[in-house]
Amino acid sequence: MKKIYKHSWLICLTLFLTVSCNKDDGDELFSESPADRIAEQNGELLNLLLSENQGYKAVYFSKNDEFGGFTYYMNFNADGTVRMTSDFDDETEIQSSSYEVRTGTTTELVFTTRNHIQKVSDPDHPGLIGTGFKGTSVFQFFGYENGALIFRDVRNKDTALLTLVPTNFSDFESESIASAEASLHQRQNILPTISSSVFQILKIENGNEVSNFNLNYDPLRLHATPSVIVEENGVNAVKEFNFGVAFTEDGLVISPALEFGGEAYQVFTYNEATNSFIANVNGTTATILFDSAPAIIKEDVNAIGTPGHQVFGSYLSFGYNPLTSPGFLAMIDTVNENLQQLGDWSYSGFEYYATPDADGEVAIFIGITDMNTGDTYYGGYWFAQAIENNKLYLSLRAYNGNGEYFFDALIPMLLFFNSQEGLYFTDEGSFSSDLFSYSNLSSTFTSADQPNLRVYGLWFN
Amino acid sequence: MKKNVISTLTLAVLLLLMSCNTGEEPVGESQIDTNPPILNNLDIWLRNNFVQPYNIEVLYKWDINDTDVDRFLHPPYEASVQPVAEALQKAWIEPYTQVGGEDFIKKIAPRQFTFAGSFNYNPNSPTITLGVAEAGTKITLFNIDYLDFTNINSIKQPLKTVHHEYGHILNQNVPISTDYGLVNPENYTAQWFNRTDEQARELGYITAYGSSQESEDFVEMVSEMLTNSKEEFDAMVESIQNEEAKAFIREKEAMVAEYYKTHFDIDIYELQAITAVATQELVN
Repeated sequence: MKKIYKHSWLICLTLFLTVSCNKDDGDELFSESPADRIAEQNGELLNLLLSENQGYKAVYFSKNDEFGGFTYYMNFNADGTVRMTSDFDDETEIQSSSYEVRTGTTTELVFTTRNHIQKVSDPDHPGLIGTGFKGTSVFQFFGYENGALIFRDVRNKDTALLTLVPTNFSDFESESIASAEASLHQRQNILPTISSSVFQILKIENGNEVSNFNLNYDPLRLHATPSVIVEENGVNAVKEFNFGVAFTEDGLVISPALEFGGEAYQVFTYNEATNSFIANVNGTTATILFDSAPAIIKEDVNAIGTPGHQVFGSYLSFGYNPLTSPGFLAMIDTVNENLQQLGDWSYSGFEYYATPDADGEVAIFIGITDMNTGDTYYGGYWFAQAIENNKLYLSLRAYNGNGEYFFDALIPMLLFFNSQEGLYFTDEGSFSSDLFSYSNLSSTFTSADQPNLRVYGLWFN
Repeated sequence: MKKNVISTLTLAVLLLLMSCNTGEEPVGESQIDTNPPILNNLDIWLRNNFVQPYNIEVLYKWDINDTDVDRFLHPPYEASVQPVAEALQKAWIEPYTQVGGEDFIKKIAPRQFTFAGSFNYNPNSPTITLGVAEAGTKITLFNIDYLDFTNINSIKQPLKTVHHEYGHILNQNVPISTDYGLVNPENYTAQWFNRTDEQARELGYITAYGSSQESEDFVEMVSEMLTNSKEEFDAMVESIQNEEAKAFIREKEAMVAEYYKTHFDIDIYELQAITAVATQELVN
């Protein structure tokens, strides 16, 4: 036994050597080396990029469940440079940078030095500090789809999409900038103006059925979370959707497409006459428009006066949030002009004490700052308060000495609070502005009389 | 007998191995793609000034794997790269070469720099990361697109990072004395960012970050000494109100100077004088 064990290694060695001599001349699966095949695969994409001497139009949604998208115009050169402009902001001049086609997780297009495309991955973007639009510089090539080169981002694999289609320009240098500026201009058309209502509705007309959504568009993120009341199993329920918005020269595209009533809506065209964006699909119509009232009136108003909704403040020093409407800012300008009749005064903000006092009244103190001393004085105004039909009704009852002094100058503001048709009230999550982010709950008040007036602020307690 | 068996077996193995080679497949060309990449003028300048003389590679073209994939970062503008590289050349490489000898940086240096254009915000923290050193071989510098070369304090920012990280690399070659951490260990804290630099100095640490732990304290001393002239550094220390804190910092300064002299034969005050002049010359 010991002898067999002693020589077993010899048997193993013999077997090993015998097997190792097995001639392995099977058919080769590929006629070219791996390096050549990788180079060929990369070469296919590189050739496509270089084949369009007037470049590509690219629409990039960096993460469509949080953000909208931007349009880029890119012209790739054989020397490894790419010239680019975009509608990200008003700095639309063409910049040159480097790019590479290389193999990573698959064939990748990498924008290797900074250009317009990196604006979506700038963590210093105001309001989006630390993340920017969560974009990338590295795109995986997924091939052709409907005439477009499709790329994805491994980090946001289900929510990021970069599509390139030929520009068909005759002069890339001038036409790309003009197109970028045209789509940047379209971005303004979705925003309320000084005189337009702040209530943006998405209306879908399908035969005799009309569904109105609150669009809930966030202009910082270019993202919308439309909500609509739908009947499910005999019960009305609020259903919420979400999509990112990218603007085009003649309208906008959304990602993902909005699927409702068996149709999918994605491409909207701007109609200047009606100041609306319209998508026609199979005889149905989706329209983004301004309306005088919200499609859904929330019940948030019923919390007013309860803990967490007792003292509200809105000061200019808190910074700017687009939920304060251009109309409201214009009204502040009017108030400041009025105050000049009294001296060097300027509106600074207001506080709303929402719990009724013994007389059943609530107080609003409007801060007016003496621009020479920096001291702020408060005009105090007392209102009767009622909550009906999910709206807040304030009726002016009394004011203090400062209130009397500033009364005439503040009439536009007092009319805002004293809206005969009431105020729409909505909670807006934690407070954020271009200057600060606080955990305090924020809210908006909008005049039903003058739906171009909406103010944003936070609850102190 | 046993020897004969071994010899026979060895011979048999050799014969079998040789018999496997049919001789029909000569070694061909490499299957690895060895084509040189496209080099622009900046690439050539970096090769001539960093790769060839010092075997240091400066990566500025984006590779998602060069930085933390969970952070939202972007590459620099090409125009930002050379000024920062020149600042490293003038205020870090050349002074060390002058004082430490021709081969000092060639022997002890990070082999790779990565430049990122964007700020690197730390999640859930009110801080940003200015630079990262990895295993003594690589330094990553962030926010190079935001440096202002008309402002000496802006230029000092990446230099502070490099002198700081290079201090770590020297420490990885020669560890610092454990006595260093005994000078004033009582106020080291992970919440260092709640202190200003001035507050940290009143506790006996040269910067707020230096009050995080002893190894950071040491390299923050190095960094501050090599990005300020002796006069500036002395003025900073002399402005401290707390005499005990001032004494702590002077004691640590002496330990840093001794470390450089003993282990690397470098007079840090001579190095300080050269870096101060070089840094000033970088201002446009």
